[in-house]
Amino acid sequence: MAGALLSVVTGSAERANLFLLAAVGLAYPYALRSLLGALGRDTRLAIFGCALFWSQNLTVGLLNFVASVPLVLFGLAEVVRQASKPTWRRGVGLAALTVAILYLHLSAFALFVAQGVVLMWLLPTPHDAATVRVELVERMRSLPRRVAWLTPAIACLGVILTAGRAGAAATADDGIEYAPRLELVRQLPIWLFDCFRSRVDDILGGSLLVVLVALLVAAQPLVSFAEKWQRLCVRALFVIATLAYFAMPSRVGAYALLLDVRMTTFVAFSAILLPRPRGDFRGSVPLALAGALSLAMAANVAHEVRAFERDEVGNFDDLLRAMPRGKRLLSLNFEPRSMHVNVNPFGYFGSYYRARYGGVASFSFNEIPHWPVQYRRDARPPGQPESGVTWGNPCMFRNSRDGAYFDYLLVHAARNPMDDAPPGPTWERIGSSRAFHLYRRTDG
Amino acid sequence: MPTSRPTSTNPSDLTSRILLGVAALASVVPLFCARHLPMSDLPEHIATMATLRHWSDVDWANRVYFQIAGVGETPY
Repeated sequence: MAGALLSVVTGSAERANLFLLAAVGLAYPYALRSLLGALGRDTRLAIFGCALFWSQNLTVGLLNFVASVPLVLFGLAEVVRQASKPTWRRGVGLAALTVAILYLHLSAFALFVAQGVVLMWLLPTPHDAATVRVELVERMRSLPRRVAWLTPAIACLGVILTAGRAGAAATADDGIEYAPRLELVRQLPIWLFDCFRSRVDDILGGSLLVVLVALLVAAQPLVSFAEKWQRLCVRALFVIATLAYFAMPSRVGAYALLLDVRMTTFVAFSAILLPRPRGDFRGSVPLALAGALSLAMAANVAHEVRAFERDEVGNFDDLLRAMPRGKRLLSLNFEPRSMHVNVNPFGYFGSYYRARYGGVASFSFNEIPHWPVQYRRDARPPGQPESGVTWGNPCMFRNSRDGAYFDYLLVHAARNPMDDAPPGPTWERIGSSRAFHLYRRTDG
Repeated sequence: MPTSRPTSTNPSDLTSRILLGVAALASVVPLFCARHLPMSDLPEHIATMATLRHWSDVDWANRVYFQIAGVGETPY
């Protein structure tokens, strides 16, 4: 909805989305910087946050979750400040922020609540080691009052659980799946850094990890009780994020997928809080190296993005322009593999037609019952299960059953699926771009 | 709180701020390097925004095909 409103200003949904994505990307390191500052850590570590924007969370397109990340980091920074110097104004702000996180993504919300409550318990730093136990017990009693800013979000969660949740409720598939824990260990660097088929991003991401470990090893010695308590707080955040990663199911029901691997981002951000870089060259050199690696990663992503458009998209705009507004387009993605990206970027490419010219672009998330925009019951494309979703599987298409509904076919494949002349409407090819081929129905 | 952390008044902090700004800007530059970004679900998000934006536009036929879900519906 925010994007739709913004598009009134920007002139198009695509520009609005770009603006929002750029704002989120810029917020990654600055939200981290805010949290580092609030926790009394070295704010120079925020440089690591730049490299975490382009993870597989982004290339898969988990945009709500991607947008929730800086809000969680900034929210935790506010929690730290609220724990030390509570104010009504900050409490109201935290309440609003928490509701926003809830509506962006439930996983991020759950982690934020867990980490936020623990921080509210641990902070401010106890007066000295001798009084820790007494102070923590006392704080436990006052904790419900101190986290009152959670109340509006918990009320909204109640509304969602009772009135909404159509996505989970509208399907017979209520299964919960977990990935093997060792597989999750293997996925950690892959999900964070391996977005492209080339090895460059793997090497740069691995190098960044090495730099982080080097900063951990060459850390400043702890002197005061306050510093040791501060270390305890950031370790608690790291442990909670790691536990959330390993405890999270990979799938809940038919629609909530990739729930575990997406949490890698929070594990990484929590890990960045751990080092205490020295003030001399042993701190500044690795940090400068991290900056150089971040720039190299951005350059590599830019190169890959341009190569993707050049080699695999081509003059796709011309295909879309060949169709009048408000028509019904079906995408058949028989070739999901990309030469450049490790995910399938073509599955919903037909939706660019709907984004620019309206009408229907199937297959679509509109098949999902909890998507904010849904098909009208009398306008739902044929061939789709009443409960459940096709996820764009082209093999769901039957020309004899479904063909008459659509005006155009956008095929992504080396071969024409209509070569075998299946029963049903006939189609003529009216344009091609790379592996995309556009067909128009010829029988009226 | 640690005392060795750079403060806003020393040169190393200024350098790190500049480096952070440059790296942050660089990280979003790829978004502007192509009209079609390699992100699986991105077109669906854009299409949903466009449908809402052009909800009353007759040429787009959005009201013919779609309905807007209630506020109780969430993206999960």
